[in-house]
Amino acid sequence: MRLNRVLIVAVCLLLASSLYASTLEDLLNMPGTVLGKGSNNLPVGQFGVKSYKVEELTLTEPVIVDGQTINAAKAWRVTINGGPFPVRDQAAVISVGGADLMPAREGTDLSVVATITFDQSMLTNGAVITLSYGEDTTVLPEKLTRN
Amino acid sequence: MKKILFAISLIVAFPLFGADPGARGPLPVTREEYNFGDTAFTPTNFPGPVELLASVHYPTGLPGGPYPLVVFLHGRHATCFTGRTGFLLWPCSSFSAPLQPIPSYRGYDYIAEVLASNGYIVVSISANGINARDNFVRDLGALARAELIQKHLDIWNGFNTVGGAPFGSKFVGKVDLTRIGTMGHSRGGEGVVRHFVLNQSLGSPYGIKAVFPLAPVDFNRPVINNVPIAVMLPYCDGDVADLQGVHFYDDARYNVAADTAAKDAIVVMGANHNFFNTIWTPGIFDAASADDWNAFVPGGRSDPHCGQVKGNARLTPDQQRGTGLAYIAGFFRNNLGGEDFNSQFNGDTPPPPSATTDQIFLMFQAPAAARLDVNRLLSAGDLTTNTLGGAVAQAGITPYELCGGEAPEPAKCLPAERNSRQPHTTPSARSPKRGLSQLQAGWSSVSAFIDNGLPKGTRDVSAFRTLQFRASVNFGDARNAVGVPQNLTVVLSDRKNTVRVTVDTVSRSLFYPPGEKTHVPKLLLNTVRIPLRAFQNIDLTDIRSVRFEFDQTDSGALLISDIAFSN
Repeated sequence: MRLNRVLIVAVCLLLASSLYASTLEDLLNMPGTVLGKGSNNLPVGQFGVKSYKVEELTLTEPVIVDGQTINAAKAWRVTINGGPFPVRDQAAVISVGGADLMPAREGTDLSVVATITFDQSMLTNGAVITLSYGEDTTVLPEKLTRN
Repeated sequence: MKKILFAISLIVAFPLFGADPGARGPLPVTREEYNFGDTAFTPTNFPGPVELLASVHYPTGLPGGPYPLVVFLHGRHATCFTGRTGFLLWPCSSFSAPLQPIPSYRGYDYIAEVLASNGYIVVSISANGINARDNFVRDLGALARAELIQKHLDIWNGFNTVGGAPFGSKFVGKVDLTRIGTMGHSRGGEGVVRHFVLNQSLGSPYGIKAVFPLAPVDFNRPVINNVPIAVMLPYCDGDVADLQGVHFYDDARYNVAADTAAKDAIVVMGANHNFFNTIWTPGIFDAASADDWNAFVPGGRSDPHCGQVKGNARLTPDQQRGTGLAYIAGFFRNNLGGEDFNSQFNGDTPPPPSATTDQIFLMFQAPAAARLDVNRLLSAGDLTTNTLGGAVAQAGITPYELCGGEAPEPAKCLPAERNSRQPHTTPSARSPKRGLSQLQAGWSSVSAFIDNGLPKGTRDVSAFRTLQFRASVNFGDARNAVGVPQNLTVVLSDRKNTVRVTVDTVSRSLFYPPGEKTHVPKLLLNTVRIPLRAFQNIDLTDIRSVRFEFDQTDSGALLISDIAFSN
């Protein structure tokens, strides 16, 4: 009897976790706490890159990535504005401090590209931020400055 | 005079034009669509549902049949629009303001029309839902695209067997699902290759008989064999600028023994990425469309070949679509319809008139049974003993080493150059695989040569029509004069005689790669194909050696691979 109750609770928790899991898309759209933000307004490079924003996201649900569940308390969102950013076959990749993050996704109105990381170790003061399509790289005019 | 006579004999031997596969056929064509909704299908582990929508071209009234089925899949592009502004989301109705879907799937109607008029059913699939979210999955949407194609084939299986909305019984018994061809553009290009793998993994419920990746990405490096594949590579691609899709050709060559299928890579000089799709072409559809070379490539506009400067070699959108039409329609008519356009794909005849340009170069590998590999040039041992077991000798060749293939070869042949300038070795985003092993060879004397001996038991090549190899002029070696084609002499020897043919009398492939900005020039190892009948008075049953004599220019440098007798 007790075992059955435990099983029922476990199944309910499992269902609840799958019902209330986030996707990377959710993470691109959820509110976050700004950790650092640039202010450049002059377009740079082929796609008119202007500035950046780094935000910390507090996660209350697991995140599903590629069918895998990631249980993390925090994630970080790196956003580059400017554009319009073309929707290309070659993936847009944001790099911070020389580390490539997951392929970026263009915002709905193509005025930003953004990506998520579950590792903040590269988000350090003075880190260089770039946006690349293959070997075509634009270096942002401002380095990362955390609040 | 001798050269002129020889050229005339070649023209007689290889007629300039046969039927043009890009020409409209005799059948009237009907276009319809089916649409099961914007969120009708969710690929495995894909973070959102996608549409089941497609355009269908077919012979009006379906008077015969069953007809071969050709499936088109577009690549990644903005998904929604209003006015001239593009957006990325799916479905478009989820946006706060009214947006229309961008009909990328309609962009190949010009090819579908011609194929349908020649007796094919052509289905062009919409994949906007995948485009909106594919950067969220590790393989960047390759499996989702494969599953979307398979889902549409399941739908067609239903149309063909029991019928169904919106067509009723119209297509029952009219679709030959054992003769299917797939064409995918860009990320759709990797999608059709991944689909071939998926269909095979399911026990091949559908007969995929031809696969055509157009300006494809190859992020994950799937390899397919025993199915004809043709990869089209636009030289001025400003999006997939590293032409990574050439790996589909290179990786498949010796991947399985006794491969039954021919392989092609088709290099279209002056072509960009987008103009194959009318919906991605400014002036035809203005929302989110662009000339990708000029819009995406830093400094690209000033390139003398690909840019906008006077005298550039860019194709117009009409011309570019002509190349797509000629080779995509030709490929499917050749491999699904039983028509013979082989000579267009092995390079024995020039591009047909519908291609609108002769600036098209081929890489071609015949099925295993239709060739005798002399030297594959895959590992260091091939520098002294060739694939047939014959001795390899050289004199005056510096460097004489392999690059680009498996370690310990250097990963790149030109270490200081961008990857986009050497597509055969460009890295892949989701695979550690190496690239094409190439012989890096240079000479500074007209006495330089490379000789491949044919051992006993391999000397009868009379069953073959050509001797071929792949080569690119090495623009990174100053011994090649900028803008000047290279040339060499190919020498066959039998027991008594030695006969020479200079490459420039039979091939244009040793051109100096054009362009100077950012992603060009490019190393592309096109096929040099020499008809064996050009070697007059030689005993083809007793060939003792194949020798390259670098006696036509004082100095130079080439990258070489894949020396073979071939049909």
